[in-house]
Amino acid sequence: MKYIFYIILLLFFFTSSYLVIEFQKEEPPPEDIALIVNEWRCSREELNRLLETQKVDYDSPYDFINSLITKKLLIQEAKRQGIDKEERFKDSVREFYEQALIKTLLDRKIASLNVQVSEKELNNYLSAMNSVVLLRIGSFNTLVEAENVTIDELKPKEILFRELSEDIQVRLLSLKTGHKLEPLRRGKKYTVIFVEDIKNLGTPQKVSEAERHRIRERLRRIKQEIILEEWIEELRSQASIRLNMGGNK
Amino acid sequence: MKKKWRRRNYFIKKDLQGRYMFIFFVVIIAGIITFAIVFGLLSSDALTILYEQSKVRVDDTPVALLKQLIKAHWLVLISVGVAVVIFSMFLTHRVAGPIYRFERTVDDLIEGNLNFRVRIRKKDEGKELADKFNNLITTYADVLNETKELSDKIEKALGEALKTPQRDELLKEVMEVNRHLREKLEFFKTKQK
Repeated sequence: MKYIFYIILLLFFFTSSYLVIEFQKEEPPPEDIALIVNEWRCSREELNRLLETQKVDYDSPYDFINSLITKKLLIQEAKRQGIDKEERFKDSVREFYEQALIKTLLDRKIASLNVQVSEKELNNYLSAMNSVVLLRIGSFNTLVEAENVTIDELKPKEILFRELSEDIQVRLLSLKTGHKLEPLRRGKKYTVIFVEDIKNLGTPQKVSEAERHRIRERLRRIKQEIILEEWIEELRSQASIRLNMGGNK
Repeated sequence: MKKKWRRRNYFIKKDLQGRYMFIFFVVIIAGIITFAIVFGLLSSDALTILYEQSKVRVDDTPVALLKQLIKAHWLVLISVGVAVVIFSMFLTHRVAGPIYRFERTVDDLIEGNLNFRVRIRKKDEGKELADKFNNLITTYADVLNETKELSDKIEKALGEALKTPQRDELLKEVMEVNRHLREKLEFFKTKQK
């Protein structure tokens, strides 16, 4: 009979453990409840915490509480209508999940970059804005083709510096005459740019300190974007990617 | 109409059956715990969104579903675990029943009673052993019966010998009976003391 006793003992142990977990008091005691919206109960502690984290977005605590009540009512109504079981809602969650993940990653990557725009770079940029660049440009289907291209195979083009796209402008700033940029991926093609000459059209315009600061920030942002682009390109080059469109063209 | 004999006590050998019932129950518990660990490991990379008590919770799947997992496992333990214990009682009874019957029959044999036979139910285990055991008892009983008959003959012959003058003839007859008796007893191979 001792084994039957052991079985009963084990059953009792697991049942009592389960009951302890199941009926753990998650809700605050009635005297601590600060807000009730149907079945939702919010303790003073939680409400204060929410107020503390959200206070910048609201004029007064009552505005926040009103907004919270509306939010909870809408969530409860959506739940009642079974929207959370719909495929469209699940797609939205999936989309949001991916976007949130990407945003967090990029935010972290940007935060880890210590991108600075030196005084010299800024002056070069301001001076280049008043110049014409003589380029040789070519587009190629593969990276190998783009890397092995000779200058003679590229088409000459004369263009105002300010008419170039922002990222090309920043890339060209660090490039000396007679050099070419690393091949840039543009859609399906790889573009090679060779700088033949830069002609100044006159002395650069004087800009205010505030304007200089604004331009510096813009350049810093563009440099960040270039680094991110290069980093993503590196991820691509390290990844195993296969595209099979089947019968589709 | 003769009433069909049924063994109603399904928990006939409490220690033996209880041990196996406990082992089966522990196996169920081990299975449940193993499942929980494997599930936790396999789902550790997954994220789960839960809406509980008007609160949205986003957590790693094993953590988010911990409460539900515990509840599911408890229900499995209560339903399947208890069912397996009951089932194992019936299952072990098929072995425990014959063992019980064997023990009872051996007890009778020790007491010198060779009239009992091991009776095994249709679905019980050990039917072949029981048949052989019953054959053994029948053989021993037959030998003992014949031995008794021969002994009776010896006794009768000796009684006759005391009354008649032709003792030599009767003693020869007694010796012949004794020879048969020895032949019967030779059937048993025993170590000499």
